[in-house]
Parts: sequence; structure tokens; C-alpha cells
Amino acid sequence: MSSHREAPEISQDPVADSTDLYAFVSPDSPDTTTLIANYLPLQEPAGGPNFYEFGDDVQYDINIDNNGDGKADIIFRFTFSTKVRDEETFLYNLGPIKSLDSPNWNRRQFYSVSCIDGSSTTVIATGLACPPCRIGPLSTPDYATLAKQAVHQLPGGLQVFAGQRAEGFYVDLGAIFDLGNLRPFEQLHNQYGMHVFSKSAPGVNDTNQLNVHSIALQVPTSKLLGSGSNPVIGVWTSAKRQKVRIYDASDGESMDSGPWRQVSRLGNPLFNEVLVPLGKKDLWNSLPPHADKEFASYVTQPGLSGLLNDLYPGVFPNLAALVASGKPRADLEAILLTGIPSGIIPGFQNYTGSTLADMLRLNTSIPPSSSPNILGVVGGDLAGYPNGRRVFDDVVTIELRALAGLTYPLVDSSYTPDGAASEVTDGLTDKSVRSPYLSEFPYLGMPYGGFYNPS
Amino acid sequence: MPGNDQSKGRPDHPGDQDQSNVSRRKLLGAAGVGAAGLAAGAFGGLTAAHAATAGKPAAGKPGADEPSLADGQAKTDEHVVVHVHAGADADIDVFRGTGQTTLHDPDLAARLRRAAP
Repeated sequence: MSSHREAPEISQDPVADSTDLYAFVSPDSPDTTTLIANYLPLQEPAGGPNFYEFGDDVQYDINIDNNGDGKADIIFRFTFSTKVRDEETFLYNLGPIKSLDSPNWNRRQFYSVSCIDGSSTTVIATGLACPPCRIGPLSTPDYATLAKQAVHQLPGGLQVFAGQRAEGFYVDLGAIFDLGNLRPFEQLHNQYGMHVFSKSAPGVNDTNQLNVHSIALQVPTSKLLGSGSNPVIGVWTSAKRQKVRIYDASDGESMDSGPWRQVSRLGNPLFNEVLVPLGKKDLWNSLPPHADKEFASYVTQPGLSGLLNDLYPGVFPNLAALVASGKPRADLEAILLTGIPSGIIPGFQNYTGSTLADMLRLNTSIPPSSSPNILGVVGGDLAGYPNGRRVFDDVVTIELRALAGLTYPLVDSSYTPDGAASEVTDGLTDKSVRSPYLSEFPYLGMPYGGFYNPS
Repeated sequence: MPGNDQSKGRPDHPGDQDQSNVSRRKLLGAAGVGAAGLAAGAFGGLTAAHAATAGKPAAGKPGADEPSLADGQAKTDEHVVVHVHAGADADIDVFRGTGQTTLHDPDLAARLRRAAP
């Protein structure tokens, strides 16, 4: 998955588990940039009576680097507080929830937004209401209206939303985690000699009908940029917990103490998931991007590239030769760790300098595309991934193709990618997501309701 | 009390507040009765037997038999959590609120270890 349950420790802590990060020039408000950080992966919509919510004991940050050093220059911090009206009932709601202040809604969540800019902290807003989870036609009869009420306009031209959304990241988990199977090409898989598949099959979106919790923020782009003329920002999200927790400290409740320490991080999709080895994933989660030099070899010598040739014998001969040569994948280093310098792709750059740091890099001077291509820059659409990331971008296919060698000619024009490198995919598109993306903030679709899903 | 106080708490991020400027004297005062009080605060329920091992009277709850505070400023309405590192270095992390300080006090570390169940 993009970053869902991607490391052993954080997989046990879903409220602090960052799953996806998006950063794009807002298509309907191009003077602004939209930043979305998702948490709480793989929510089964009917998962009551304690429906999903952010952690009151977690600090959620969206970090902006605007000078290329891999350190945060601006931090938007979100902290949550849950309020219960009636502790004598086990119910989430005691009747239909028709507004955010409905007396029928028993367990509500509110949040604060702060901006940390250098050494100064500004509390932008407090007491902002989250929407309820989408339960069903009796409990949340007009969810679209509830969700709109939870889009808050903030001073300075910002708008914010924090709450449940449909999972917009599409991926064929069931096949990929079954030893790297890609259903459209499964007949070419070595199948470990078992001959299970004889023909190709369409992909299956395993995140369909599942929800996430999103923190979405739209900010005038001018507020994100540094003092120079550089239009490129680096973005990552991080979650922190206090260092110490004692369970049942009093009255059956836990008690936290000590400084905040990072337990989750996400910049580029799939970075920690498929590049960082198992034994270092939680370490990576605890570190800032400017420490990523330590992990650079996993980018320039990705194990998955070698694995592709093993799993699909004879399909990627040029990739196999490239892997065997030991040449570092400077293309992947540029895409994931430094940004792509100017002069490589006509009309495009999102270079932030030589500091190796996993950040989602967005060149904010590139306007939104009027006819987006879900393959982003690889598909000729400079407004898409890896120039930031839009909610509908097919990051699985883009990264699979990059790992398969499609982007290596960017740094070595003598290299010819295998034909399969431009075809490899898990067989899904943005149309594989049942709840449609929105054309306006917060862009991710309405969450799936528990009454209707699964169906 | 012998040992060298070495506060190591510091922010690792521009957004972190360094609230670790808690003196060792304040911490000991806040915990009430030195080592035994710290242990009670740390482990939430020091039994009389364990306290006897430490050579101090048992504290029913943190700060229950608190003497006058050394500097009159340490708060008693917050939990204080103590972590004695494994190994011979005898470092002791002390947590309160969002603060942390680290003490290097082999004697105190030894007493806390004896007090632990």
C-alpha cells in the first residue's frame, strides 16, 4: 500500500499511521495549494459502535520545506479533542445526526490548527468540528451536507477539513502481496512452478469500500514559498506521540508523559513501503527527511527492480542487465530524493537541491491540467506525480514503471527500457474507486457508509 | 546525594517545545521522598514490602507523605515517570508533562532498582 501498515511498529498504531499524502495546486483555486494527509488505514465502514476518529494523544503535522534542506520551515499542526455527551450509553449516536451540533451525536471530535513558522507558533483556530463517520441512512441521512459543514474557512484565506473520507488510493493488494503478482501479467509470473494462472486478468481494487481519515488544508500558495523566487516546496506529514505511556494510570485510562517523538512519516508514496528494508522501517518513520542519506542506497539499488526480473523471467532483460551492472539508479534518486533538475524534462523541474530527502516535491508554478493524466509526468502531465501528487494519480503504476527502468533514460540516454516497462501495471485506474473524487475541496470522495458496505 | 546531574532533554524539531528544564531538586521534591517517592511515582503502586527493601516508608500514592518541598515550586498535581536504563550506565530519565530530563546518578539508580518489584 502507499504507506498503510507499512512498518511493524506503526502497523499496531492506526491512529498515528500516515497512509497517503497529497500536494497539488488546487484545480478550482489555482492561487492556492491543497495539502492532504491521510491516517487510520483500511476502515471497514460498519466498524462501530466505536467508530473511527483521530487520536487525541497524537500530534499530526504537515511539514513544508521551502529552501531544500529537508527541514521544516513551516509546520501546520493539528491536535484533536473528543467530547462525549452521555457516558452512560454505549451508542455513538442516539438518533439521526443532521448537523454538527446535533444533540443526537454522542461522541464528537474537535480540533485545533496551529502554524509553526520558524520559532513562532500561531494558533490559527480552535474548536473546529469534525464530521461524524458515515454510518447509514438513519444515523447520517444527509452526509454530504454534514461534510460541507465540516469545511471551515480560516483567517488568511485558508480552508480546512478533518474527518472521514473514501479511500482514494487504489491498489491490487491481494495480488501484489501474493508474491508480486500483477493480475494483468500473471501468466508471465514464474508462479514458483505451480502453473496457477494461464491468462491475464483485470486488477482488483482492494481499498474499495474502505475509508480513511483525512486532514485537508488549502493554503494560498504565497504563504508556503520561501523568500526567494523558488516555486518548489517539499512536503511531508508526520505524527508524534509522547515518549511514555502508562496504561490504567487511573480510572482505567492511560497516561502519557514526556516529549513528543515522531512515530510516522510520509512523503513519496510507497517509499517506506517498498524501498526501505523491514528492519529499518520504523527507524525511518522516526527520522526527519534530512536524515534520508542513510537510506539512499535503497533508492539507488532498489531490491524490487531485481525482483521484477526474477518473478517475470525474460520479461525485463534490459532491466536485468542494468541491475547486474550495479549502476546506481540516479533517476530514482532524482524523482524521490532531490527532485528532477531543469533540463531533463522539457518545461519541468522540481529540484530542491542536493540534500537527499524523501519529500513530495511540488512545483507550484505549474498550473493544474485541464485534461489530467493519471500517470502524471510519465504520462506527459506535468501537474501530476511526481510533481506533487493529486488524489487520482496512479502512483502504483508510475512507480512500478519507474522501478522497471522506464525513467532510467532520463539520466542515461543510451539505455533502452524493456517494452514491458511502459506496460507494467496492477490493472487499476481512478475509475476503480467507487466513491467519485470531488472537483472541490477536500477532493477525496464521500466516505462509504456502514449500512451499504460491503455490498 | 552523589552523582552528576546531566539534563539532556532537548527539542529535535522546530515545533518541539523544550520543557526539560526541570531541575533534579525540583523532581525529587515533587516526588516527595526522594528515591522511594520517585519509584512510587514511576511505577504507580509501590508496595510496603518493596518500599522496605528500599529502606523508606511506603507511600500510599505519589506524594502522599510529602515533606515540605525544597524550593516550593515543584508541582504535585502531575505524574512524574522515571525510567532507569538497563545496563551499567545508571542513566535515569525523568518525565513530567512534555518534559524530560536525564540524570546520571548510580546511587539513585541502584536504590530505584532495589525498590522495583
